Amino acid sequence: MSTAGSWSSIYGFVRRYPVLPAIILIGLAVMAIFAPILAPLDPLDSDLSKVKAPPAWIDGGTFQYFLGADGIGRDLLSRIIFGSRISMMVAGVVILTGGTVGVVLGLVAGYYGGVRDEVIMRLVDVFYAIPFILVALVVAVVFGSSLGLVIILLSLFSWPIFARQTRALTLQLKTKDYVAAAKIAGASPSRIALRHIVPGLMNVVIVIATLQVGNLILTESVLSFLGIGIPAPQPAWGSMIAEGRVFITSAWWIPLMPGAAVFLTVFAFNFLGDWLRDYYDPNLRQL
Amino acid sequence: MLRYLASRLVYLVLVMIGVSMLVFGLSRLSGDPRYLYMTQGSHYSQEVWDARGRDLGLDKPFVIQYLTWAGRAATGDFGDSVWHKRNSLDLIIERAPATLQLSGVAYLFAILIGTGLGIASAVMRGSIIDLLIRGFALTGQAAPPFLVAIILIFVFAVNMHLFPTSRRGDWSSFVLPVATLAWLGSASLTRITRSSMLEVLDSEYIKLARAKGVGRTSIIFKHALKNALVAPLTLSAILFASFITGTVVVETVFAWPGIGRLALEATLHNDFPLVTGLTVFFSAIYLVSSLVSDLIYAYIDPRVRLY
Amino acid sequence: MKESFSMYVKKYARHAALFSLLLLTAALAISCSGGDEGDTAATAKPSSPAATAKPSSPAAATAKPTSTNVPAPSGPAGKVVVGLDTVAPLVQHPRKDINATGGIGQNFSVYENIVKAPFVGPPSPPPQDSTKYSPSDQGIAESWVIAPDLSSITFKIRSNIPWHDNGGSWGFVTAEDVAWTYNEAFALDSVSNGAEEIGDGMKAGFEVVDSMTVRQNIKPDGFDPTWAWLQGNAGFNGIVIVNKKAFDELGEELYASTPIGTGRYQANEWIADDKVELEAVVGHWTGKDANVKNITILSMPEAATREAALRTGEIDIAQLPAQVITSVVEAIGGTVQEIGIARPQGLQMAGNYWSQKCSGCDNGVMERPGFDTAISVGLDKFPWIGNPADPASMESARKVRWALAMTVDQQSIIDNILDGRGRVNYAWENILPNDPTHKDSWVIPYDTDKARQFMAEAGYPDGFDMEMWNYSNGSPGTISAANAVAAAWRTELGIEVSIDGTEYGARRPQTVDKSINVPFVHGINWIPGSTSARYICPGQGQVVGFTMDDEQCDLGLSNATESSLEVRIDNNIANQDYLTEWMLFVPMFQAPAILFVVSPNIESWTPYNAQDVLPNNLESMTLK
Repeated sequence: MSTAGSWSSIYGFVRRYPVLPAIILIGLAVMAIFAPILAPLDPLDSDLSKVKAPPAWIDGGTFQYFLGADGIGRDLLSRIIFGSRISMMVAGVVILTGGTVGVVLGLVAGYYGGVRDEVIMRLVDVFYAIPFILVALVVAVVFGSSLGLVIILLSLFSWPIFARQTRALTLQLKTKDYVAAAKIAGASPSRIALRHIVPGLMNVVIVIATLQVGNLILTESVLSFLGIGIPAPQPAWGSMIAEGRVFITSAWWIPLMPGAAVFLTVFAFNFLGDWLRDYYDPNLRQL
Repeated sequence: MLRYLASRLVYLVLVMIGVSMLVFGLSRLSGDPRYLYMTQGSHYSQEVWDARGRDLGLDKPFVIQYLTWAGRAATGDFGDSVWHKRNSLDLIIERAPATLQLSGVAYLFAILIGTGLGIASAVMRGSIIDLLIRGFALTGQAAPPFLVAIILIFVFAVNMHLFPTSRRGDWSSFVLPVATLAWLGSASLTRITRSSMLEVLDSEYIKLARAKGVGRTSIIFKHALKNALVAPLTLSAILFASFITGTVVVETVFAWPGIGRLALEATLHNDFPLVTGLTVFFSAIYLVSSLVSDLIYAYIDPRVRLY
Repeated sequence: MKESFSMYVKKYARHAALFSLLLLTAALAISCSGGDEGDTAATAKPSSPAATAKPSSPAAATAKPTSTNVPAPSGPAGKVVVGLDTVAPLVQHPRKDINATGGIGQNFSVYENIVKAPFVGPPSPPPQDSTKYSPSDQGIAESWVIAPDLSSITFKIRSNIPWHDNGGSWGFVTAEDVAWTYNEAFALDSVSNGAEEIGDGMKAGFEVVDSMTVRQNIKPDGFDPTWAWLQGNAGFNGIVIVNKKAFDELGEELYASTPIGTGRYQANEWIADDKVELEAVVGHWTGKDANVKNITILSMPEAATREAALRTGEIDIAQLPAQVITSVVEAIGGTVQEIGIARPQGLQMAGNYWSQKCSGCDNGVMERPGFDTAISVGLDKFPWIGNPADPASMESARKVRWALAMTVDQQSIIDNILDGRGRVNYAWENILPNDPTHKDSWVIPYDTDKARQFMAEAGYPDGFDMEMWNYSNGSPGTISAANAVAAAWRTELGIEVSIDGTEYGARRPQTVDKSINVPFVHGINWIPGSTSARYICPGQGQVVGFTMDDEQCDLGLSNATESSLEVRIDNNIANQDYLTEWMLFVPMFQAPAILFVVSPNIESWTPYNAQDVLPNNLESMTLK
């Protein structure tokens, strides 16, 4: 086969499948799982002689602190690696809790309709109407911000999206023939819901979840900017960027290294989510 | 149509009640509100402390307290700001125009750019232009807004001296804050418009129109667009609300004198009268914009009016 | 599907026009109602409370009756813009001034106090004798007489001090203004922050004796020898003299937005969270005018933006964090200006409420919920808190606190985090090692081996978990240093520190109601002979988070009525001995709380050493 032919088939493969995001996300997963092995230094260890040390390729940098060090002398690379754990953990928990609650409520609303539907949808509307940032600020100032609080706030922020889309899809799936058939055969509502509708929802849920991850990571960084994010000394990417932003001219690597990490991760998740949506079902394009 | 409007308004009021209950509950959670109005010097006598409690209605049951507050809030009286020592509503109304201008202009750009690029990307699917537009959309949603703002300031104001770094002034001071706000919003609009347009272009009646020999441009703009714009329209209401909250970040970085910044500083000062006023205000904006978009939706698609 | 792009652009423009037309109309409607002109932020409705007073024109200023002193040779000229992180809302009324905006205004040279402390030499209590004040240090009071039985101070008010003509013409300062100002501030339900700093004994009330004489009544045994510092311009949040007639005529709302003072700068506009516009008064009653005609103080909450604005020249003076100052100065030139008496920063080891004896409290006993909680949970969860009833716990907690103190490498923090802008400090009483009264026994060695040994002796060889409150609205250098200290404790001693960043105001009530029992980062910039025990003993004022024992508190609190400066200093030294032995304050460094980068186009500026953390002595600024 000629080289031109193999290049074009590689090109075709890359165009059709989300290769770039996959690489990024696999890298992210490896970082998160193997963090203690991969990180060269302890992310919480502060060496005051290395304060604001530049990355290795800049004058004054060392190989040991490969991406440089932050304002109190902690290794940026190690903090970014461990930070991937925090980002993934927070995103995972939030999507699991918010997603489960949202899907269940959306399912109930869509399947049963009536009063349950009204109540749940009004609840969704109230949550959409509340300015999230303001309420997050108030709650954090009252209770003091912590990892747990951030997770709770982000979950409350994300369940309505799952609920709304699940309900819409449930309404569609409810009318399908095989559901009617199951009803005629005498299956109980919960059995119908679980066995026939939920499988149809999974694609939607996966797409929403993938697209939400990026949103969650960015929202966490905004919470840190406002002073109510994941508290120090945890190496959360959002707080690293927020704490480091004052160094933008004097030690740009401090905010921009975690910034790049956030950027690549969110980009990858959004790209993947778009692709999954196109791949699964054209009906999902309303997402 | 009128009935639809009426039912939406009733629903809006119900939601506002829900929001107000939540906000009031939160404000009471912060502890004894008397601490906000009085310092904790040792020179207070018990009588003064108790009298203040009676003033604020703290001796009454919680429900009565809420109803009193809600009654006043309905007339726009949220009480005096603890930090500014002035009427909260007056403060909000003074500073809202700055935010509405900023969000309004950013919203306008986001809509135009977002829908325009989304349509172009869908129509020219698979081309380089499509790829570039999709790249723009993806990168726009991937960076923390405050970092984008700071980078824009240093690149375009400090290094290139094209615009002022901050503060509201003439039109040139709008450019960087609007760019920050609009980039994020237009990115998601682009993606939604693109997918919506793609779906419509693939649908049965479009295929039928093509088979009948209707011209391409006519297909796109007469038949497809109206249906494709439904999804971005729905999103745009939510988008406007997210702009309002997005201004908290942008106004802080650009030292813009609007209600976003007012909200941040109010919460940091435990200024609950002002915070509750702002929360109700923001919710009201969201609900009104969502009502407007629902009405436009109902106008376009008569089927909706049956609900 | 590759058609020509320009065709689509054309069609798109035509059909999307309808959609965008609707939005454009809306946007135009919004912009028209706003009115964005120049630099003003709020919409300018004449009746709106935010509307500022009429701007004073140079003509109006010179038309005012000038003082009998010789006018300045050439008028003030030029403009300076300062970037600060916040501008608090003006609350001119003394009873309501919870944010000490009078004190802010005094730092901006808008208002003046009854006494103006001389700023010669290191900070020290100003003289009691009014004849010891030089003509160039002049407060509203021309002279005063302290009654021999210490029951009152009678002030003679100068007759030639005109009020700024904002919002009207208000004549000259009278005794009535002074009496009204103080009585409102001292009222039972007043929230005046300035009044809080003044001891109860001095707050019996002011009386008007005649049009230019006013008497401050003092409770029996209530005379505070440091009153001139506290009621003057260098103490915290000093009470400034404001105009009663304007309040009567303008009404509460308009008064709150019309700054009327007597200082060398008139505030033409004061918009909270936005800016203060200052204009130099021509022919000030002191005979010495400011040099720079217009000073604008901008509120820019984001430090990176302040740096950007300094680099573009939009502002001339920028408040910046210590960590970036060196690189900014390298880039643009200019100088670094420290403001105010430097603060000793460190950890208050909260929870050690060892004295409950409180004269102003119910039953004479101070409640200490934080301490009671720690006891009930178990002091093994609070290893730094000692129970006075249990000598063993006192000793082990003392060792723990000493271990924490010996793991702080102050010099390294100063060199690396603060770029050298700080000093090593071991004393909560703010006495530096080079001061003659400093004792060698106060020096804390940086010795991590000894620290680990102490931890083991206390029963915590593997460390423990601890929460630390490091408020997010403190100075950035302090926040970073505290984070570095926490990291060192973790590495060296195994203490897992979780950091609470709650901002100061939100958690301050806990320092007052004594419910806080976790260490927190804080420090107060005392001057020699202060009644510093007020802050760490039950009684008046706030309790910061720990108390000394009864004997030490009695000694320290006696400063409030002790007239000899030497004795007061000795009492504070004795208190410091105690504080060092029991390590209730773990020092990190001493540094000014606020730093500015001053651009090269400013020739000079000499702020004075006050306790407030604000730019001051603006009248000394000169341009190149």
